[in-house]
Amino acid sequence: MPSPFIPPEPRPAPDAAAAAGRQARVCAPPGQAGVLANRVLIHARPRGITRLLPAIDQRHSGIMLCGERPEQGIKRCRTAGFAGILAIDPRGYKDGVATPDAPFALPDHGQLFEPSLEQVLDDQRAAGADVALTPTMYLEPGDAASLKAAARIAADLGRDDTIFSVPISIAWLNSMYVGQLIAVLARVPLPKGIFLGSQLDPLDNVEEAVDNLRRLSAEAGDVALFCTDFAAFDFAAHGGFAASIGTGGSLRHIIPPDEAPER
Amino acid sequence: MLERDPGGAAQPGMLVLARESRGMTQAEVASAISAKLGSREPASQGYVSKAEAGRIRVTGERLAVYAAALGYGSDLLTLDEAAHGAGVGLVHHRRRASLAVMGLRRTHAVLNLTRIQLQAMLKAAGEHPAHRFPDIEVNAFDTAEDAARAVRQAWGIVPGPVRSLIGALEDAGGFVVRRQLAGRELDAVSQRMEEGNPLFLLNFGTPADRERYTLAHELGHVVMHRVPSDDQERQADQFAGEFLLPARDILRSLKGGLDLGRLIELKQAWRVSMAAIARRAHTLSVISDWQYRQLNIELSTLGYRTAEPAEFASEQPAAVAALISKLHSQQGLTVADLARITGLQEQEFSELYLTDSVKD
Repeated sequence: MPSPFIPPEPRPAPDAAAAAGRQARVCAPPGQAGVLANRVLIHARPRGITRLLPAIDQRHSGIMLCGERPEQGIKRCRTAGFAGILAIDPRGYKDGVATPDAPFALPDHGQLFEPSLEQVLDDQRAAGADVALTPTMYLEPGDAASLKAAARIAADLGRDDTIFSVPISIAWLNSMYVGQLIAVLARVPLPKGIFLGSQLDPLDNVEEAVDNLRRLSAEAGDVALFCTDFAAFDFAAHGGFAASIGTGGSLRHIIPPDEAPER
Repeated sequence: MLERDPGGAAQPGMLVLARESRGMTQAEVASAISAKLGSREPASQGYVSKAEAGRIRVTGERLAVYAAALGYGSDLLTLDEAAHGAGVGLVHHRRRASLAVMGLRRTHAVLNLTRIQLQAMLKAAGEHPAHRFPDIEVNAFDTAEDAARAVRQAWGIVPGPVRSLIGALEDAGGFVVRRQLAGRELDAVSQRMEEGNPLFLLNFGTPADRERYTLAHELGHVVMHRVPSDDQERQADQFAGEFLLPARDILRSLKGGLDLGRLIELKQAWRVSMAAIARRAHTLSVISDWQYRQLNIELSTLGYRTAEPAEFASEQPAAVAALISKLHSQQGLTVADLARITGLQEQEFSELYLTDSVKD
């Protein structure tokens, strides 16, 4: 007869001081946006989202919803009893390329006045998102004028519940452009959410990208990496305050808005 | 006329400048002087050394012989150094690492003398054109690419390829001159003149595509680098890339596959070397590191690193020729007058400055 399973003795409680020394630096943006600190979220579409809920650790994770009617996804999550962190990726990067005159994708509902950026952010919060993300359009390689325009508007928002989305071509992480990217983002008092754009795996295309991504997380102040893959863990380990991992390949990077995905 | 030493003596700095512009050593100058003097009074290297150090005054007949030995007019050697800046100021150059110091010194001397000659002709014409070369500070926030976009905008260059880069530089008040510089190791040098107008000296024999990139690189130096910095060559390259191949305009053209055939098409459209276009595509991450390496291997294998196909004609400067035409037609100055003004001998003035159109 097999011997009954005897669980091992629990480890003794670690020395508190030693544990504190080993602990990674806790970086949390001030205000409501700080709820994302040290979390690696799931980046997912609303369809079938409730099936994922049991697998999500509400203390260390959460859900970033994107795609069609993300507010419905939030509603379904809450109805199903999910009490963790929820956010909406408004995917401005799919609507077109940012320009200095129009760096954000603002919906056109045929209203007399187009909604302002503030209204778009308010709508996300009203839908139940714990934080709001700016609908920044895709930032092409080296297009500093559009990046600066978006950063200037984001800096003037004066909100503590908002993350400045920065959907960039992976070229921004080569040695030519990363210094400027850091210099511009460091001036934005909001937390920043990077989305990496290119066909296939962005970090495979540019050798310097991983190192420069770490540099970005260390120098640009409160940076998250969204819509990515296991790179999220490396990023978090090097000072990024949050990340999100896509549930499928198309949600683990973004692509330029004028291109079809390569397979 | 330019300011000269009131005593009519050669200026030490001008003696050095004139000698270096000829690529001569002090001993060679001494030999040339001795040859001119015949058996009367041989000159030693020590004599030339003392003259260049200002410990001997060179005047009168000795000055004439000294100048003749160097192949210049006496007037050039008596120019006031303080007024004309005979010493090398901030000179920018695009060169290969193999260029020897002597070659560089000679090139700097040629640049300084060309500047002096040009200033003499401008003074004779009684005018100095205004220029539109801004001073732009670059740093991590405002980069060299931003500077390139600002210059394109300020000069009204429409999106797309720069049709005539030399034309754009001259329209903005710059001067472009071709000279035989030190071998093939150096493509160009540039320097701002006293009034701020830049002078670009191009080496003869540089392929047109490389010459355009070099000129854009020098333009970057001129507008960004009043003081030298460790990063200036990288910044000038960054400037040139965006000035000639603006990201916003060329990005679409680079997409959809980049092979040698496409590079040749793009070279003809943008008038920039295939290698520069491939590098731009890599910088903009249109091609991956691996694809860029493969393209470079192909370019090397086919010998395109040294001679690319699809060559096109070089652009021709026109501003200096127009100035000389004006001096001739409006003020009646002859070649002899112009040679005297510029401190050159007539034959050399003709060789350096009289293009076929001006001669006609």
